[in-house]
Amino acid sequence: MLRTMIFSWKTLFRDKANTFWILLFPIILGSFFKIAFGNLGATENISTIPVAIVKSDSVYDEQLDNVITQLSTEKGGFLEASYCTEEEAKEQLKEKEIVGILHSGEMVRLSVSENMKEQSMQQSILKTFVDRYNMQVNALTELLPDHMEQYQEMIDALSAEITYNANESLGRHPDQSPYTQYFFNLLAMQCLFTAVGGVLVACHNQANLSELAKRITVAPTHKLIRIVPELLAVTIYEFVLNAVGFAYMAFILKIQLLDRLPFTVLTMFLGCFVGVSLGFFIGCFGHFDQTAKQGLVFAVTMPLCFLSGLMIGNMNILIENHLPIVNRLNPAALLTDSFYRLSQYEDLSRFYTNILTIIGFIILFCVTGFLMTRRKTYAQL
Amino acid sequence: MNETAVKVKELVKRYRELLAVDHLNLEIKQGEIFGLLGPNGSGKTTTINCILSLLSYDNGEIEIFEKPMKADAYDIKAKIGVVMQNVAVFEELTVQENIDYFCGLYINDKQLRKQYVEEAIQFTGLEDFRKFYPKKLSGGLLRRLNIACGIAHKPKLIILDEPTVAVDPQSRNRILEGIMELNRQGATIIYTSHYMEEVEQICSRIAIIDNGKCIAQGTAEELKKLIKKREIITIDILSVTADDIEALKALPHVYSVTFEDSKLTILCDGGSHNLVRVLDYLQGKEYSFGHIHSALPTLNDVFLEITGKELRD
Repeated sequence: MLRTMIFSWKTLFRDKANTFWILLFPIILGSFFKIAFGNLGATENISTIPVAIVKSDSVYDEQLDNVITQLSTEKGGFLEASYCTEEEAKEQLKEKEIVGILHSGEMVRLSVSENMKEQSMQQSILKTFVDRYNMQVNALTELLPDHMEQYQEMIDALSAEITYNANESLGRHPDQSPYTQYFFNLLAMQCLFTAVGGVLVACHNQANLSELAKRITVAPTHKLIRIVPELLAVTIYEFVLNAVGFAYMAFILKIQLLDRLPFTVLTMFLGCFVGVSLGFFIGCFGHFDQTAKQGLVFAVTMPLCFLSGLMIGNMNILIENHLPIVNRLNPAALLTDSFYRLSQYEDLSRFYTNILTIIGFIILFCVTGFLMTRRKTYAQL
Repeated sequence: MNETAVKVKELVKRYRELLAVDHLNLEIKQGEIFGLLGPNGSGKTTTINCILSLLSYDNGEIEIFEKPMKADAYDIKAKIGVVMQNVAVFEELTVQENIDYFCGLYINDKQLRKQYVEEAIQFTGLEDFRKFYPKKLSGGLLRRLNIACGIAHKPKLIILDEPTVAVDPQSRNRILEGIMELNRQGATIIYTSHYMEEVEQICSRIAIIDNGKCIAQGTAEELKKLIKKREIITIDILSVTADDIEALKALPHVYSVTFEDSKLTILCDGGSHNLVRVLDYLQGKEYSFGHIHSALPTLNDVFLEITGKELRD
């Protein structure tokens, strides 16, 4: 087993072009991110979000008031709310004194300025808050006619939940640049790109994919004994290369990544493992050559990274609001979220769920890939 | 040794509508160098891949060392060495590391493996290239490395699939001598090629394959006896008359006489002194002639006579 791993490391290390790009790509992209976003974080403070409340002079004002009070900065929340008319609010928004306007009513409506891209993170938080509020109010409206006696309890529960979520989102490092999120996405992408190495493992062990695999397949060695050490070797090698990229981001670019380092390292290792096993799984499908399969890997991983927010920062929030299952099943989103949770949350229960899901994916990809290759004779070589 | 090394019975392999191997029967005895001869696309490599359980097949049975061959028949696989048609080595490993890697798939004992690797290097004459990477090797050396990787573990059955394709004559001779040496050391060899001279030179028995069928099987001499043609006489001559051609046909053992492009071709079905009789006739007619050549039939002639087409396409 160790012998197979040593030979795998030799072949991987001596593949200079591959090693060079795996090392260099995240460093280059990380540097670009730093140049592009490095100073933007300083202009945005997400610890408090100034908003204007426009009342509707209806029964709905009171319930919004209750919640806003719970979330106000005086009570340790994140909203700096001011009550005014719609015209005044619009003027404040135009002058960039506030991030958004909350219009009271049966359903609370949010107005933000399209010209305030630098406050997109705060806008996203407000959007999440409004969506959640409306959803809860809707639920209350349906339940109240039958349970009027529990009105106050329900209002308290609503306030408590939104307060909890708001506090949760403020995190361990409220001063952290919101653009650190992009570096989490980059780390997730790095991890998933190790899938290219996984394809290599499949191509070494499927006789219909390469001459080398034919020679290896006719040897009297059980496929499991060949595949497992090779998968481990590729994972460890890619993890080391990714660690270099990680160190560059942490120590040279000074991105705040060193919090809870053991957990971060574990996430990166499992990220590499899920990447390699995904590549192995893809590599075991069909009768295409290695280059085509590596192309397929990029065709799969890039959309996953896109959905996790690598190209558009709010993408994962949009998905979370409309199709959260995608975020629960997208390995890139799971990795990004894990890094984010480690950086921002005291409570790590969601992090543990993410890690367990990733381990589940590793087992699924490896077992399925292995079942596709074991004891196989081919219809065509 | 008369025990069977490989037995192929009624093997059928289809690629959709194409019948690649058509009810093929082979029996290869231990200690033989068995040649599979046939043109490109005749089904040689498909047959080899079926024997190795790399390819699934539609019908038939394959036994190696009198046991059914399957993808998980590791005890049989341990006795087989394979040299593929295309070079199959790691570009990132040196000559010595490549041989060590493939030998290690068969031999676990570190000391024994070290010894075997060294012997394979010496056997293939790669001593001066052990630290070279494959891309630095010439075509001939690369083929030798390919062979070394296949035979380092000292298999009892060695399957060589066209190992001399695109190899210079020097390396080719070295490879062929090496194969004969492996056979002398006790290995059974299956050698596929479309180079009839090679097959004739080294193989103790030959099967000629065409369109997936075995059309003839035996020693080179036995195969040549299957055809009428036993001697081919060619003479460069300016002209001959139709009467001369008829007179030459009337000579003993002559069954065909043709004249084309100042070349007289006479085919004989056996006998001796055929050339002397032909030359006596021409001298008697006071013809002046140039280059004279007398040849025995080749396996290509066998193939041509049986199938009506050339062995090399």
